[in-house]
Amino acid sequence: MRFLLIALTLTASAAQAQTLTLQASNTTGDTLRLKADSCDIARTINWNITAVTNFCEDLNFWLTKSSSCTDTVASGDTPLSDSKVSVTLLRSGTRADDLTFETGDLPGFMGTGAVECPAADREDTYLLCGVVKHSVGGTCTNNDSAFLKGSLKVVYDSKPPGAPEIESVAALDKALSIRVNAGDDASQVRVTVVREDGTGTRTLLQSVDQPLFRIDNLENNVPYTVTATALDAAENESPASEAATGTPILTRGFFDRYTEAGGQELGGCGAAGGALAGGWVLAVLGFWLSSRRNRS
Amino acid sequence: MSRAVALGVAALFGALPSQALEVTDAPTTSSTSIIGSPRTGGLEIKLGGYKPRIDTEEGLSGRPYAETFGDESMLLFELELQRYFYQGFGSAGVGVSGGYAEKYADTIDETGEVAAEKTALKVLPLQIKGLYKFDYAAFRWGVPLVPYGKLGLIYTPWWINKGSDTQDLGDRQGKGGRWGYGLTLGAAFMLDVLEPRLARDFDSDLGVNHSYFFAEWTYAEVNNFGGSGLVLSSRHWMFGLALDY
Repeated sequence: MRFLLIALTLTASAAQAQTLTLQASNTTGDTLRLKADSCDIARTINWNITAVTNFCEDLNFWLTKSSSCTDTVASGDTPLSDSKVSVTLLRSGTRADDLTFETGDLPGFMGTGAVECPAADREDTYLLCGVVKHSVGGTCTNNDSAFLKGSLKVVYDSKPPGAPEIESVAALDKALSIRVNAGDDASQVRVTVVREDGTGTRTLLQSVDQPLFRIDNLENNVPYTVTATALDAAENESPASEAATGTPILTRGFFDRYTEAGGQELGGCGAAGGALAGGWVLAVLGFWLSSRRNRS
Repeated sequence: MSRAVALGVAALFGALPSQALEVTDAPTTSSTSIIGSPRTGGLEIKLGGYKPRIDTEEGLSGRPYAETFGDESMLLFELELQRYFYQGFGSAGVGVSGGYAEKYADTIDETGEVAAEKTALKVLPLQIKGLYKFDYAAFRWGVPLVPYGKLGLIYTPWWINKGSDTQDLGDRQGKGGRWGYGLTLGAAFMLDVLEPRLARDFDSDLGVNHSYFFAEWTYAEVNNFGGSGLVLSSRHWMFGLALDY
């Protein structure tokens, strides 16, 4: 009976996964991207431990160039000593909190062979590791314990994407329609439209998934210079594209032609129209309810 | 439009020989209706070419619809629900329908050259109608053709777009609604005679008593009963599938 209870307990505990998760504040996904001009800005990371109670040692955090987290801090890693959580706190119930580090703490900017932060035109990948030793079988001996690890990918990205290409500029009525092609490393595109005399700058920022831009409220028959830049996920901005020009023009659509031909229509639905549309919806609803009642 | 009419007529006549082959061993539809589920209404799904008679508006100096859209029809899709209140010597009832059609064309610049921007006319015809179907011969004698007529009140909301927005011109709004009336005459071919067993299963499983392929012609006067403004009247054919439930 005792063995059965132990087996059931072990099965139940195994069902809940033991995890140590690290998540950057105000970001989604499993990667924190840092751009060049942010060396002394503190980054906040939330950590959370689930399904572990028998802690053996302190919870340690460090930054590493390695592609995986080791059991303990290795040479060349940057330990985040201020963020260490003592085993006493862990045992008393602390399972989640925040930690902070600065871009300048990344191993590429510290120790031998380091470059100075900020560094231009780099894209370096690091791991933020969180590791804690805990008991598996009831004691903290080496044979009876394991290391619970969590990590977050941190990318120092100061390499701007390539300049986008303005594929076309179409003249619309008091507007321009602009199609922009950006490279794979871009996440957003910014289009800037300036009057030829340098006044009246207008900008529009869109995702690369929306390559067609429409800039409204421009002046007809005035030439505008159009440029575009691409931004990557770390908000590094590319050089400007080659400039294109576009001139909004007066266009005549069906309503213009109808009016010019002497059409009398003034538009407007009126209350009666709305009432009919509402009545039509009610009638359809009535039909539906009626047929349901007949079926039941 | 003429192509759509030809397609509909061809499909209708294409179905007729099958009826002649199958009718001999098919149980009469009257017996189907006796053993089938109660028949209370109908559903129609239809497509057709709709060309508003905008250019017939009194006082117009040109043909703005034809000049913009090339005098072509819009493709109108409609859904109609019907409810029978009389089933004896034929069936009579009321119906409501809603449809949608749109037509796009290039705008032009001041010199008359084609510009990059698009212009569009969009309509949403709504109708409430009385209807009569002479289905007595179909149910009594197994004649698979059901002639019918409908008379209804129409309200058609419309929009005119330039680019992605509704186009207003000064005090004129590029959207509105027009009232009118419509008369529809049509004939439906009862598909039950082609596959009687399938038709019975359709009834017992889903409650669909009969299914039809139909063609109908509509005379619609949608001009606010002679008022000024857009004339959304039309004379058009529609083709579709009808289900009695």
